[in-house]
Amino acid sequence: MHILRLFARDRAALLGLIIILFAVLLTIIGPFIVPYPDDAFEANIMARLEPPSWEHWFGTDDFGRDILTRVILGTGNALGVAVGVASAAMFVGVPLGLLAGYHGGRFGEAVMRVTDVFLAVPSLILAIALAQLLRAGIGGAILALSLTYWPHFCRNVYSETRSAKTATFVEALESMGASSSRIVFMHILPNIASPIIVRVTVGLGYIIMTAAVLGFLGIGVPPPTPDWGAAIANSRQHLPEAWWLVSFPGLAIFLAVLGFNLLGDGLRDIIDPRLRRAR
Amino acid sequence: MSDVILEARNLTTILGGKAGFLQRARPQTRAVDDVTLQLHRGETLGLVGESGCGKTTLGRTLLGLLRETSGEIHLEGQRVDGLAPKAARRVRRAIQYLHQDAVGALDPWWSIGRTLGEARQLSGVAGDEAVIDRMLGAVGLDLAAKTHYPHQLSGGQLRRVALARIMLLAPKIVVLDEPTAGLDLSIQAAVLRLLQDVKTSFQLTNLFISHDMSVVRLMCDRVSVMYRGRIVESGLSQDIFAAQRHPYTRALVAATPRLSTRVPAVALDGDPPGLGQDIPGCAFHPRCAFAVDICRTQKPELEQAETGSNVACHRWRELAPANDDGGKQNGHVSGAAPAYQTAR
Amino acid sequence: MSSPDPLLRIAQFALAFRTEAGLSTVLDGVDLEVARGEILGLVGESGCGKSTLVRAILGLMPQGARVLGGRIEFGGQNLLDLDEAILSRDIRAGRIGFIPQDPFQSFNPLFRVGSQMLEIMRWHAPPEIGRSRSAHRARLLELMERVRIPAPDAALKRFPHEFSGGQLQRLMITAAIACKPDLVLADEPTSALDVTTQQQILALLEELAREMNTAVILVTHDLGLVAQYCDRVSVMYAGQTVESFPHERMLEGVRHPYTRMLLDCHPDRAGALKGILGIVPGIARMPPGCRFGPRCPALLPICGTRRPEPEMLEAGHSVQCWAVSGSVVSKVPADV
Repeated sequence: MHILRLFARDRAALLGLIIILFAVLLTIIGPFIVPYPDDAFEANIMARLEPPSWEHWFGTDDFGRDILTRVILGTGNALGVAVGVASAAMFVGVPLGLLAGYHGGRFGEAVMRVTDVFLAVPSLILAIALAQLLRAGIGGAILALSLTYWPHFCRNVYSETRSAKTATFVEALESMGASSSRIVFMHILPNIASPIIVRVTVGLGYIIMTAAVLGFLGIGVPPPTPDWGAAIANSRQHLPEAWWLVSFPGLAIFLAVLGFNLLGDGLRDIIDPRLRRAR
Repeated sequence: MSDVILEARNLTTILGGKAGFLQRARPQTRAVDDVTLQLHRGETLGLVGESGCGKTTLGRTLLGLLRETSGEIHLEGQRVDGLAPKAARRVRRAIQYLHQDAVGALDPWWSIGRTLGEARQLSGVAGDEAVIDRMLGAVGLDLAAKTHYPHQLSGGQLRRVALARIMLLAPKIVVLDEPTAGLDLSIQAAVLRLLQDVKTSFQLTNLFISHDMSVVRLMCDRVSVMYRGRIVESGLSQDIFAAQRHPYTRALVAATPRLSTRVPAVALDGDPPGLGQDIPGCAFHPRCAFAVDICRTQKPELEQAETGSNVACHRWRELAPANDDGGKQNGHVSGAAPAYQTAR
Repeated sequence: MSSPDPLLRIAQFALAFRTEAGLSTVLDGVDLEVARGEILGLVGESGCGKSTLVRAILGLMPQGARVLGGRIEFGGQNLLDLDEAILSRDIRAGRIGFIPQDPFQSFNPLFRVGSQMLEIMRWHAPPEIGRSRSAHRARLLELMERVRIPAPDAALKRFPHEFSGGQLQRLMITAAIACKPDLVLADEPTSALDVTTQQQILALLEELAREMNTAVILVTHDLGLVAQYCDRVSVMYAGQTVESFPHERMLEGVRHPYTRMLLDCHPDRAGALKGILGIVPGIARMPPGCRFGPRCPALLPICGTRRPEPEMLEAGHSVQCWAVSGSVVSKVPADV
């Protein structure tokens, strides 16, 4: 397929794609291949704080649990939160952005001012504050992150819609008597889907980062569920001797964010000139 | 005389001037200034003028894409003015618009077949695939085009698709916005031929907006010349090209390159006025060789010169109508000296 | 071809661009001549290569362009032999002026027009104009009076955005002729302007060119303009020159099938609603031999194998067409 060939030329994008696919794979088959499935929840105090070895590739943590297992199991958590947040944020942000961008006027202005309020606060702080306000646990974290990120998507969609609206074919449709909802959802949306997909992909990286911070602060999944951020939080007491406690979860976060960023950049390069010409 | 299918009375459209929330207003312009015209069933009326004359704005106001500021619009006897764009388009669906940019007028993500199907849906008229197939044939396209996407077709084919799409809406009047601008001569000829054929097959009435006088002369039955939002002269095409009454029309016709003219045409002095500048009296007076005091203070109204011909000029009676093919008169049109000899 | 000692003679010039599909011959055997003080109209439809040719004369070819053969002789010298340094110092602006199509893009919006034009003069003004800045300024002011820029003194200090399209083109004309070039290349100088402004500009250009005995190549797609202003006309199709003729021949007397059909498409002519069957082939799919062949009613077998050689029909009129060639009895139907 043409798209895959284009991907193959951009090595960075290919790397990103591989990383993400790998992460998805881990999410699916992870629970079946981890060396110590029980370590998800059970402690083994006898083996605590062991450095990386052949039995424990990433070492063990302060509860004696295999870090490799916990990192792999944490992947599903991280991806799940990211996708969940992105979906919720888009569910709200995309239609609002479309309608605000197309109709403009007072409705459009109102929506933009609301997003202004949200965007005025730095995302991280907003996420933390909201997470504190809402109920604890993963549900609260997802809700807090969704509320933090929907304005970004909304504004992106808004500006893309505004510029798509000036396209001649939109005017042609209006002059033929097409209804607003037809124009917005059947014509403008497919045309702006590509740039939006790019932004969402990069956005997933940011969401993972922020979710990790929430986990670090103890907001998110309750222990002992494996979580990258929480693992890093735990590691603080034992640094710098037990370096493996922080390195491997940190590496996982790094790779996940890197993967989405590279993929997003690659998509942008591919979609922008070539696909635009092709379609 | 055929009946009037579309009529505008004292139509004015003012652009700009409105301030958005927290946004400064753009300067106002009377893009269409007190225009009265009639479009007769079955004719092709040419709207001509140079940039900034308001012909495109007039076309879009008649369509309903732009809301008029004041005045009346009558479509087949019914009043259709005073509506917002969406409502106006619904009421005036007998008028359709062919964009200058045919390529951009089609959604790049939709196949041709789907685009045409949508037009048929919007028309509200029951019909099946055969209707679309017939329309493709009428514009000279192969049925295979239905499965293609815009980027797979040439500019010429896309223009035909755009025309087919409009025709599926069964209009009575088609507004053609600069249909030949930027086209190569051979393609222009093919497009004009297509427009002529479609008009005949579907018994259309055309409003032909163009700045190219040669094309207008070929395609239009009647012509209205616009300058700065006002109609300065109108009449039968053959009359106007044979003898112009308004100094601007004279200059416009003289300036049109002809295959048969060797002598340099009269150059009209100065540049077209910028938009937003308000010019008292006749808008053309700063560039007019015949301007007198009344021209500077009072706007001339359209008067009937003879049946079917109107002109808006205070001095039209005194100024002898100029003949076309200025080559016959020492290289300049009577009454107006060549620009580079005018004393300054 | 037309005169014994032409100012510019392009002989069998061929140029190729590197495209995704390999090397595409954009200009395939162009033959052109311009005499001193002559106004030549270069006409053709989109993709015929007229703009590319004009830029090639100035040596402004894009990256990856390769000259495949031919000569561009200017004042006896082959411009293709000159390197970039000499071209930019001696030829451009100094001996060959250039007026591009879009007046709004021709000037740098950040600098005053006066300083931009003075810069041109500083590098390219011939000795007879003088070396000092004030001499250059005087020359510019004198020209600006001629081209009827109001208040030239103040105009020099203005920025490009303060002028209208017509005024900018007049400034471009000033800049192009300020250094007394032998030849001015005008690439569709009036396409972006209104028709009344267009006549002002071209009448001006013609007047100045006659006065200074400067030759002009007027690139345009408007046959009417060519009929009005040009002494001779050269027609191009898909990178090949097909016919060159004096303006008197325009209404009747052109011989090449393409020229005849093209003229017929003009709204003033009867064939205005016919068009020419077929489309210009894509750059990667040019047919061999005469490129108009596939669309030509007078097609002969030889047309698909060898490009027609230029043949002089009479003074100033040459044609590249096997069907019209003197060696073959004309097979072009009268009503083509």
